[in-house]
Amino acid sequence: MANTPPRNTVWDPVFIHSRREALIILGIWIVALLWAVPFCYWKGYGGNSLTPADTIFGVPSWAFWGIAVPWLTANVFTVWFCLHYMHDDPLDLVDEDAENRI
Amino acid sequence: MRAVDSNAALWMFIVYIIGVLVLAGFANRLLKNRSFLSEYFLGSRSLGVWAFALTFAATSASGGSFTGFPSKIYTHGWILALWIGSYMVVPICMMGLIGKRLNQIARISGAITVPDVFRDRFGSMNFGLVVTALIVFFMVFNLVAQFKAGSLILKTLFRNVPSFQYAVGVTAGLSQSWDLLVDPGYLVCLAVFGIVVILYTTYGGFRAVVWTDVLQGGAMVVGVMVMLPLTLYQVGGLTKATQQLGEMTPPRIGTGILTVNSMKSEVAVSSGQWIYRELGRPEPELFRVMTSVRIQSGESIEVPILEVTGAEEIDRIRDTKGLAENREFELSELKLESYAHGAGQQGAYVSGPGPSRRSTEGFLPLSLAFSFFFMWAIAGTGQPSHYVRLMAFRDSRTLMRSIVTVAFYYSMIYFPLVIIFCCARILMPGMETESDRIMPAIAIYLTENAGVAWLGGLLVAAPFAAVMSTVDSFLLMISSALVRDVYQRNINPQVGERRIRQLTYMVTTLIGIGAMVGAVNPPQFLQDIIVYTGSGLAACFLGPTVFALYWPRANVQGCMAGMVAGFATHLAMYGTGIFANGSFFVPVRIFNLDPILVGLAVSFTCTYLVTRITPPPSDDIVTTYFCKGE
Repeated sequence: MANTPPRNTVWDPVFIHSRREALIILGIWIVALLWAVPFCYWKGYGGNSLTPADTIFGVPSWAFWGIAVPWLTANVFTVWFCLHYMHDDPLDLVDEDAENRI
Repeated sequence: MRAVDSNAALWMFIVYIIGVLVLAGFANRLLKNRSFLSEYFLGSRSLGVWAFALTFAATSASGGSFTGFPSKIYTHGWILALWIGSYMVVPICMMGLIGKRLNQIARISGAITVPDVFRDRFGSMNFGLVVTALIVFFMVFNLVAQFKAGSLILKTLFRNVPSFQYAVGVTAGLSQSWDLLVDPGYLVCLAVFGIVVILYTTYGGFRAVVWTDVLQGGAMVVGVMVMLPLTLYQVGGLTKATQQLGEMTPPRIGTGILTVNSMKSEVAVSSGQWIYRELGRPEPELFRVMTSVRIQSGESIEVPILEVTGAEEIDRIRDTKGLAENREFELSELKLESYAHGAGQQGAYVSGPGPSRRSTEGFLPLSLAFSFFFMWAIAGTGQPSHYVRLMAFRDSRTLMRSIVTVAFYYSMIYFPLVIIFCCARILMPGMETESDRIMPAIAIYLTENAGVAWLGGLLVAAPFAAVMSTVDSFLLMISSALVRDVYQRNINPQVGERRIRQLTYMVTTLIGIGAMVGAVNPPQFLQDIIVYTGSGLAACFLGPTVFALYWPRANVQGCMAGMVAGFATHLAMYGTGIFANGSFFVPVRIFNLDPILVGLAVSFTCTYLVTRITPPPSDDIVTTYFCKGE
């Protein structure tokens, strides 16, 4: 058994939805990684003394554009993804017998 | 801290503890009308948004968030924003990657504990026992370390409380008569911490843990939200603070010989004493004594010393503190070491890789920046203490709203902490050698300066709350593994509910007492143990969990092999550290990779390959967990 469900059954939609959502979340983690780390390395490593132009609202500009802005963006995405994209799947009721089964 | 303020901190703490115990009492009443095990260990799978979100956030934000993390920010500066950067996606990763499926599978199988999930998903009693053994192995070590962390935080909070000092005096007398070579202050705090945690966890079970987590999670975020404006106001704005930070250069740290020039017969030098001198020197010099000593007149003592570097920084501290040429003390034979990275380099605290005392590559070289981004978000997903919470939420909608709640919660905690403790370098300079104390120290400093010293108690309660919320979860996990997975499911399946109830209370209490006794002579490498157990659990659990939830072909042979392989690889890399680096906690790094990365890679690969070469699971199992009827 690998790619097809057993006879007279179909894949559980909760399984299908959850797997798709997990893959998207993994993708978002990769996007965040590829934005934050290379950008901070490019703009933030080197140790030069700061001038006023190098800060935005008091945050070093590399941390502002490399961490604060993607953090804000990640929050916006999280709101959209969780409240508008994720499926409100019905999770099965607990099988009381199973819970008490040893 | 003045005595009156210290008493305020004590009263705040007492009110807080009463609140925790009252919640445990309410939780215990709920136990009477529901299935005992399901309610005691899983809250009857009925957690709503706030309870689920805050218990998840509080459990994952262990004491490290409020002790180790602020200390690192203080020591290395703004680069900690990148170190913690992956927290922008941690909530969606840790809760969203496996949450819905894990909850569903636990419901289908009726699983109450994490070993239950694996045992039932694969229909294998042996797998359940392997999972139980791994959880108990890692959690016991971690529990002892967390008990120590909690006691140390409490000791800082009570340091100047008169009644605490009286208790320390009594304990010192007792420990002398019993030949105990342990700090009596630590013993008192361990007893207070241990008794409170054991009491409310045992009495109220999971529900009490969750409700107290909500209280503790609230204390944490309120603490940070109060500290942020106080800090920014007192430092004169973030732009000014960051500019000053940009001018700083790392200090030099080492020892010097201290001699007293005073006419008095004995002089007490307190830790943090500044020594400023400029006469007859090409540049002004500023030192800080890092220990408290009593010196007889004319006597010389070697003391740990920190030297502030950078002319602007020396001038600023001299002006702020009103320091004048020191004539009372003589400092000689200085043996001071510069930082291995960042010494004499302006801008080191506002840029990467951040100054480092030991590493010539700096605090966060690029390879480590990638590793931490991986570790917090992905490896954090593989923690069994999180699994329990993911099994306990009420429905999918609760999960979706909770992820959003935790995302905003973390945003309000972690980035503000970076700002607060970068500013702390300006407000409280020269604390590098005692930076573990920076959180309570800055809390007291900020609130005293703002004239609201009583608030200090609440702020210092935040790290204490963080440790408590982690300890109570671990305590229940070990207890559930032993009572449910070992006793009920393997030794005495016919056991009645009354007997189970008695056994659960007894085991939870005994484990708590055992951890407390273990922490009397505590392990030296606190943070190292926490890192070892956290990364070890992820190396064991993440791979098999992902396959078990998302791959119908996954079987018991593959997942058990992956779990054992992850454990063995991770342990081997630490174990060989004894021979290669002289310490278990300095692991061998293959290709300069952290053991968790190698352990996870081996675990995932092993699970996949062994599954492929062994028979597929039965149609029954696949149908139960992955299919619906047509």
